[in-house]
Amino acid sequence: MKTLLGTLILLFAIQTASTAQCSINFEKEYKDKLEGAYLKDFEVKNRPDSDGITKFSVILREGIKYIIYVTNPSVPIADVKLTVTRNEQYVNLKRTVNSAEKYAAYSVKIKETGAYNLYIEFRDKSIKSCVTVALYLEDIE
Amino acid sequence: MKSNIDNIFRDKISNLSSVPEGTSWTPEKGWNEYKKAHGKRIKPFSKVALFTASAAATVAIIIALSISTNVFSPKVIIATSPADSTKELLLPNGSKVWMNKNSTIAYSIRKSGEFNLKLEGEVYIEITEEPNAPYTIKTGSAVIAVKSATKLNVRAYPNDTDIDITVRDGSVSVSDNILGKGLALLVTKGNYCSVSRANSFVFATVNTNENYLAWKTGKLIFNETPMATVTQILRQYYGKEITITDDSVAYYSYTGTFNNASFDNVLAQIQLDSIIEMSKDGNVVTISKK
Repeated sequence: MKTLLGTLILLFAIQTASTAQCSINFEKEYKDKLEGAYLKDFEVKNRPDSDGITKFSVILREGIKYIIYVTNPSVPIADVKLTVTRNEQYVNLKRTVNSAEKYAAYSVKIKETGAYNLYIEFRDKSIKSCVTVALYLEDIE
Repeated sequence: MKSNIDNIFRDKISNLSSVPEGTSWTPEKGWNEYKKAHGKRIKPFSKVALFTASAAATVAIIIALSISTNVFSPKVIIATSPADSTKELLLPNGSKVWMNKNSTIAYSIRKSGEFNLKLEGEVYIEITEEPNAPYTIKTGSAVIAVKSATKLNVRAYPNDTDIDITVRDGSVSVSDNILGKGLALLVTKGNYCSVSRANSFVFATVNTNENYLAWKTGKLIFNETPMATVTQILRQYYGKEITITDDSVAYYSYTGTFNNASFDNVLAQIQLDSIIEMSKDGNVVTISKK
């Protein structure tokens, strides 16, 4: 009985933790394994009461290649979309998906230093989920 | 004495009414020759006098410079908060400043109204009116320009990896002085910006940290917050060492609110509400699964 109760409590704990584990998971599973020089990571939550889109602004520098990783422990990678804009124009991204490791990598070479907007969109807006977006530096020319 | 002799000699010469004929000597000429032969010689400027003059000139230059510096550079006022309490200030330009523990600000106001504030630590600033002169806050490599009535919190302790700027009301533009002033992000109400100390990376997004002002309000809010984050917030707020021994505990979500609660009360309540157990050994708290 005690074991059953313990298991139920643990299951409850795991379930409630599923929406809030992205940043911890990234720290433990991805941060030091991903290619490039780490710059910044941030957690993005999908809340059923929101429009499913979260915006970030960053200053990126000309001539530098960045890799933007979207790591995703709880939702399929295909259900999350990343777009980058500069002065309301879309920036071309090269996308590589690693399904086994549950992450997508978007590489971009910056042609002009300035403020860029990153948008993370969850296709299924009704579910409670999260991803971690991490920026890495690929190389400097 | 010598002067008296000179006077007597001059009087004698001037009393001479005549000189033998054929003599080209005149009293004026005699007096001049006497002065030439016995007058005071102008001594070369002695080394002591030269040194004294140089020293005087140097002192004069230093005084002039210090006067001009005081005239053209405004006075810098420094305020610090103690290690165990916060501090509240009203600045001469009307800004209200709350300083978290262990914080220092240094500010100056020019005659033009231009305001510059440098800080280390954490402050919450309320600028109640739109500044009519440049209003700049600098910390580390971050430069914050305030152009409207704004309420913001700046956290910039030297050991933190990032400088965090959270805008509660109004807006600011944030740049990194390594990247240059032209490259700034506009951070508006409800958003926050971080500037990395290590790589000058400037990043802004919606603020989701409900506890950024806990140091000022005394209120801690956890809303399905993973225990790893809860411990991080408690560590920051109470300045205590907290370690998690079990990875599954780190993922455990906690919900609860505390108002001006003591560290021990918070620990006891979390323990009561959740599946975790806390043990205290001196200043170190260890969290494990029950």
